[in-house]
Amino acid sequence: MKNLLTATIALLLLAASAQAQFGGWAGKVMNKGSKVAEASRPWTPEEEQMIGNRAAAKLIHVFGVYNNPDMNKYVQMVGSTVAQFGQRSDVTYHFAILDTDIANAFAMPGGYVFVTRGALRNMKNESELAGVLAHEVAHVDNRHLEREIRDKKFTGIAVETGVESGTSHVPYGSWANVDGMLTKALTNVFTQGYSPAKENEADKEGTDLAIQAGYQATGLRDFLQTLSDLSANAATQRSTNMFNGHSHPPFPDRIAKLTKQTAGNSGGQTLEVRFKQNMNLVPTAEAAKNTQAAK
Amino acid sequence: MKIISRSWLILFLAAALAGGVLASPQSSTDKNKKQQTKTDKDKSADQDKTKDKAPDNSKTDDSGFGGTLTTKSSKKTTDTATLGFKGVGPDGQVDNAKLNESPNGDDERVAQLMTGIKTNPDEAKVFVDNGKLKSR
Repeated sequence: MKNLLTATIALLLLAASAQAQFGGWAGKVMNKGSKVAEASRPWTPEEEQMIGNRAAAKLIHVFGVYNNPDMNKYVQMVGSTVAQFGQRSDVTYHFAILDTDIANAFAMPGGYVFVTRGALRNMKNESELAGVLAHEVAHVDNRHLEREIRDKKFTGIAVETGVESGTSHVPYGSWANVDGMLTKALTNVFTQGYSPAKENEADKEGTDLAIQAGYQATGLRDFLQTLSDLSANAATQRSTNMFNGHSHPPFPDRIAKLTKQTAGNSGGQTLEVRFKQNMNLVPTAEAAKNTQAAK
Repeated sequence: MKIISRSWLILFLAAALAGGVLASPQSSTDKNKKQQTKTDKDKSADQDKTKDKAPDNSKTDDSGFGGTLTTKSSKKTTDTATLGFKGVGPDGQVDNAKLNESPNGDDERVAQLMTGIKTNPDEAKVFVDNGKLKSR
């Protein structure tokens, strides 16, 4: 009787211990597995919209929006003209101008596309603007930033902080998680750019979109040439330094590819007059200083 | 008698242990409940945050969008700019300190306004026709 009771106790102790250890360990593994799967799955349209809106707010925080309703409206019209030929029907595009002298453009998930005041200043006609905006539309079409974020480099945050399906309406659990993830992803994009493959894909598809909309095929290529010239000049290279990331394809390579793509594709609109009528840019800080010095 | 007492004691311990094992899933459920409560709290906080993010219509729209783009504006707007390389350092690279900050209420409000921008199809047609461009 005594032996039987001792054996029962021993068995129960063993069971309790195994449950505690195996159950906890197994639970952790399963939980982590589901988090990884959750972090690597494509975003739903709602998640893309929410994360894109947050990313747009972040860009607006860093650069500010250029306070000129007429020019923002013009950019929206040009952007919409090329975006209608995009691949995705689940995205509504929103275009705006960022208030900085750097020459650049950015695309955020959910159709948020920005071009800077500095980029507009250095464009010669509407076909160049169309080419740049179409390049950004192609980034959204191909979910380039989303893919960067879902890449293992950034999903670490999601796994550590917890992605639990159905626990919250905010993607990745909380806005703090989304902000942390976006900061990492945007820092990477700003310092290194997208991979050369993604940039070349956006160059090619963007140029195709501009051609389909009836613009001159060389708009994007011509603007890249301008950026290349700016970067080669010590006085103006600050405006293009964000392009000098390690993985960003050098301008000459991109220009050569686009020259090949657009060869024999003559025609299309440049709309230089309309572009100049709609550009109402205040001077850059440098230009303002030079004007003061000249006086 | 002594043996019986010890047996009862052992039985009592065994029952207590068995109870502990059976209670384990319950405590796990409690943990889940606690987590759920915490999540609900987070959710509630996020909802509050979302409420905070809702555009404040009482404020003047100085976003640069001039309200929605579905109506044609005839007023001549004056522009304002910060004049300079906002958002980047002297090296032309993005200002990391600024990038690490979370967007504030004004940034969120402007992003919300941007979300509201939709191109009016009639205006788009005129724009395309005037430029001798193409529609899909």
